[in-house]
Amino acid sequence: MLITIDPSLPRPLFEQVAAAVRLAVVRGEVAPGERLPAARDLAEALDLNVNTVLHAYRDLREEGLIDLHRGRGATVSPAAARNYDRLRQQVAAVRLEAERLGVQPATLAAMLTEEEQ
Amino acid sequence: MTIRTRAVILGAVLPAALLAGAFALITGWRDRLPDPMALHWGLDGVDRVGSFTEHLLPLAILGLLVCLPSIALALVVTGAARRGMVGLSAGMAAMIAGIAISTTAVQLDATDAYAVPSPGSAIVLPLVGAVAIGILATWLAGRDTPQPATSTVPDDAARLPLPAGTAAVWSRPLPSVPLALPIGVTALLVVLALTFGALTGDWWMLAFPALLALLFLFTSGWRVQIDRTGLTLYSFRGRARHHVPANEIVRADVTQVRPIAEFGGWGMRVGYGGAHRGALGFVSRSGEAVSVERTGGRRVVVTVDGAAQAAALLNTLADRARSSSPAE
Repeated sequence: MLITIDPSLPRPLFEQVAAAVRLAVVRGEVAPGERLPAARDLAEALDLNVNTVLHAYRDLREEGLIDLHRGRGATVSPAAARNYDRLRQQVAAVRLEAERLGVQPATLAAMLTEEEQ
Repeated sequence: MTIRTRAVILGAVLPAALLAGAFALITGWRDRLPDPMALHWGLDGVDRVGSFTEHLLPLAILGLLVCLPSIALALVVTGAARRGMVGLSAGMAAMIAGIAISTTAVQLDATDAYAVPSPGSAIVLPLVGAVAIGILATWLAGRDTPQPATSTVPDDAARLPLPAGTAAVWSRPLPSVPLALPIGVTALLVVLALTFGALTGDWWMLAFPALLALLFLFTSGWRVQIDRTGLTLYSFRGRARHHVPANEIVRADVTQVRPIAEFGGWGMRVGYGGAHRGALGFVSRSGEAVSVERTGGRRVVVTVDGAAQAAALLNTLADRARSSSPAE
């Protein structure tokens, strides 16, 4: 799992941490039940306040993405992580199809992010 | 005290003193020992007796055969394996000395060699002591002195695009070894120890599977973290166990590992053959691994998923470490 933080961005730091973990879970880079780095270690490595990381972890828990245990830290919620299997397969299929048709990644991204009309 | 002096004292002087001390002690006991002495114990007690020389000579030869190579290695080996070799040399000498003393001590003031009790339980204490001395010597052998890299990271080493000012952390658990391995080995030892116990009434052999199970437990649940400080391996309790500073990284690459052929098995090991000779390996499965070349000819190999991303990030962070603290 790769977490990158850019303090120069307007996006709050705790959201950047949460977004990175979210992406890693959805992508399947962290397995269901896997332990995330301790908030203290992560904060130290990213030069953040430990409360910023805890804020991110608490948000992720409310989303049902991770579980927080006293003494054992944060683990990826098994049920939530499994739900993304299908999504990953479908995204892979969409990517393959776009590649076959020669659709540019930017076009594909725009198609995915644009609002329903 | 320099690393070199420590290696000489702990890896050569200490083992020699332990062996010399043990044999001096045994020689001093000569008048209190039975003649003939018990030489060998079978399942039903003593099954071979002989003279004092027949007791001492094999022990002395064993001591030399085991300790001379390990002393030589402790003096010669540098890099990743240095500390381990110093510890091994001290521990081995302590073990031989312990076995020699305990197989002699059980015979003090005995009149009939065949009636001497088995030294089994008396050997456990020196064995545990030998392990403790080995660990202590490894610890006292000391860290390598810092050796910041003087050259830049080669251009052909992969990089991870990371905008300036961006902080990055990469974290992955070490893959677990095939579970059948620790469970199988522990179960086999338990069965052997129980069989031995049932046959002889001596249950001290059970200490071995117990120690091994503890060791397996201790080595599970490790995690690799890569950040601006470099690469760190954390044990299951979250304590940092091994660290490669970013400014000592020459370059990082993806590599392939064959545990048995190249490292002689799984765990924290020194590579002895093929592409990974001399590398310190954290090996828990075969296949993809990140290989970190460190200054002073040292190398660390860690089997981990996503090794390509890990190597690229390490090279990028090594670049940054160069520019933030220029090497003297």
